[in-house]
This record gives sequence, structure tokens and C-alpha cells, in this order.
Amino acid sequence: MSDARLIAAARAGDRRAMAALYSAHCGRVYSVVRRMVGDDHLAEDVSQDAWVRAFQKLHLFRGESSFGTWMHRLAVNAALNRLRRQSKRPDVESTAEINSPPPATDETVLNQRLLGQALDRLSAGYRQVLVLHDVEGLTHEEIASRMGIAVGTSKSQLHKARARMRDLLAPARARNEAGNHA
Amino acid sequence: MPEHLNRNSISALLDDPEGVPGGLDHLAECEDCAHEYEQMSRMRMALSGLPDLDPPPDEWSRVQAELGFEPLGRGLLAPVWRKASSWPLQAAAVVALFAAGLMVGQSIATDDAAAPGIPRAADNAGSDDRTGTQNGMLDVEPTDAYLRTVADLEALRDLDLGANSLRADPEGMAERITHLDAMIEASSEALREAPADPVLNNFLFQLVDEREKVAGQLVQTLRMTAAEY
Repeated sequence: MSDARLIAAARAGDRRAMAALYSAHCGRVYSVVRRMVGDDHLAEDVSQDAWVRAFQKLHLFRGESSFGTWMHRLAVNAALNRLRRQSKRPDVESTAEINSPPPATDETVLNQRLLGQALDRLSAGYRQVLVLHDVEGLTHEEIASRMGIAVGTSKSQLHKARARMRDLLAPARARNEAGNHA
Repeated sequence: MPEHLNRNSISALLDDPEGVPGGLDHLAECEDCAHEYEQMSRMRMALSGLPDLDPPPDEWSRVQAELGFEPLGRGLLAPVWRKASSWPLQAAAVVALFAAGLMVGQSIATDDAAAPGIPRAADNAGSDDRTGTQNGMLDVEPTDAYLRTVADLEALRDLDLGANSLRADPEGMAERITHLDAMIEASSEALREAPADPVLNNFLFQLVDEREKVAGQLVQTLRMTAAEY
């Protein structure tokens, strides 16, 4: 059944339709939330809130975009709002700019688990922009609008985030390189 | 050769090759920077290809609880019974009580009636062998309590079916589907206790058919509504 039919049925109170909508989109919603907040427990909370809010506000969904897009936007906003509320917490990850010349040799260790670990270690500001741009494919204009920052800030944060990711992945690359030579 | 590009510039080049004056020229000449550009490009591609993560397995249950839904399945009847006294839900409750009455009534009735060689419900008292119990139920005389329960059940079902025509709007149909779901759930629960009971089985089939019919009507109505727009 299409999302449109499911939405109509869900609006009418059909819980199976709600379950079907949840089932179709829960992975994407949880993924963006988890990667943005960088913490399992917080992600569970935020993802749940996003779904509750979605079903409570389903009557506001006009169908101008797909349900998936609408739900994704709602999830991102839920994550951003939660992170804003927590913004008084100090960022534990270093935000020092990396200006040193690139290393002469490198090894590509970009498996998904390592990427996920590195994302978790990024400071919240870097992580949000990097996830929204490189993982979720939002433009800087969209990110700036959602986060309430300037487009230039979004770009700057992204470049610093990528550089930091390269640093965070370096030990794993080195270990992998050593392993390959052993 | 000019100084190396810093990583911010290399990152900027990924998104906008013209965004860093002289950047592409430098990459063409500098092996180290070209290598870093390549690595960062791979990282970006890997990030864009990250697969979806699995949400926590209990997330949907928690969402339903937050929305104030009663969980389907076990524990459905008691809270529904407390919250609403409408006849479809009463019917669901009756179905749930049905099996208990059936078991007790038929156990009494079979004491002297079971044919030799055929397992009886009473034979299986204290045993987990449900098959024997089921077989025993096929050979019993219905008690008055059983007949009264069936009559009540059928009356409630007829009331439910009769009311269908009164609520042809989507909300009414959705509400009715919810009620039918409750009765289906309750019937299934009862059938776990008395799997071979023909009345319960027939009742469940009718409910399922009815639900299909109402769901089809709901889809048709929604389709017509959508077409009007």
C-alpha cells in the first residue's frame, strides 16, 4: 500500500497503517537522529519523540513532499532541538583547526563502523553539519536554515569537520597499515 | 612549489572545484595534496553511503504507549473494558471469557459422555497436552452456560454487523475496524484455549471477513474522497 493510503488510514485512526508507516521509515529516522546526536540513549529518546510528534501532527501533513521527507525533516528538527537544549554542556572533542600538511602516505580505512565511531567523537557542532551535508545530502542553505546559522558558517564547520574526521580516523588507518605490513 | 593546501581548502575543493583560487592547479602538481584530496573524497563517498541503522526493537511499543494506545494482544481486554462500554468491546470481552466457560462447562459435561478411546478434557486435567483436550471437546454436549454464551455472542455480533450501515464515514469505518480488531484478537486468544471449537472458529472467520469488507470500503471511500480533490 502506498504512503498516501497509509497516511489516510492512519489519520482515520488505523493503527496498522501507523505501524506500516513506522515500519517503512523507522530506519532512516533513527539513523539520522542517532548520527546527529552521537549517543545511543539520547537517540532512542529523540527518535521516539519524533514519531510521537509525527502521529500527533499527521493532520498537518499536506502531502507537498513525500511522507519520508516530511518525517526526515521532523526527525532532524527534533534532534537539533534536543541538542540545542543540551548546548550548555562543554564539547569534549577538540575543535582545533588542522593546518598541517597532509601525510605523505595514507591508507583508506573507511569502513562503516570506524566512520560511525569517528562521527560519535566529533564535537556536536561539527557532527551536525557533517551528518546533514555528507550523510543526508542537505545543501548548506538547508542546513543554515534548519540550524539557524549563516551559510558561510555551515561551510566552514563542514570543512573543519571533515579535517577532524581525517585526524580521528588516522590511528585506525595506521593500525590497518601496520596490520597489512605484518 | 607553493605551500601545501590546508585540509579546509581541500574540503572546499571537493564541493566547489572553483572555490579555491589556484586549488586545482596545485592538486595537479602536488602529490601529497592530491592524495589527501582523494582520501577525503573517499571519506565523503563512504559517509553518503552509510546504511540505515536499526532502531531499538522496542521503539514502536514505546511510541504506542506515548500515544496512549493500548498494546494489542495480551492485556487488551481489561483496559478496554474499563475505558469503554460499547457493545463491540463488550463482545470482545465476552469472547475472552468464552473459552473459560467452555472449558469448565464441557469438562463437567464430558465426565460421562465421552466415547471410549477418545480423550476427554477431564482426562487431561493438570496436563499440558492440549491436543488431548482439544479432541475431548469435539465429543461433548453443550451446557446451558455454553449455549447462553454463544447466544449472547451472536446477538452482539448481529448488533455489530447491523450498525455497520450507520457509520459509512471513514472515521466510523476506522473505528469499526478497531473494534473488529479487538474482537479478532480476543477470539484468537480464546481459540488458543479451545482451538477446535466450531462456534469460535466460525465467529473468528466472520470477524475476519467483516474486517476485510470494512477495510475495503474504507479504502474505496478514501479513494473517492481523494478523487474529489
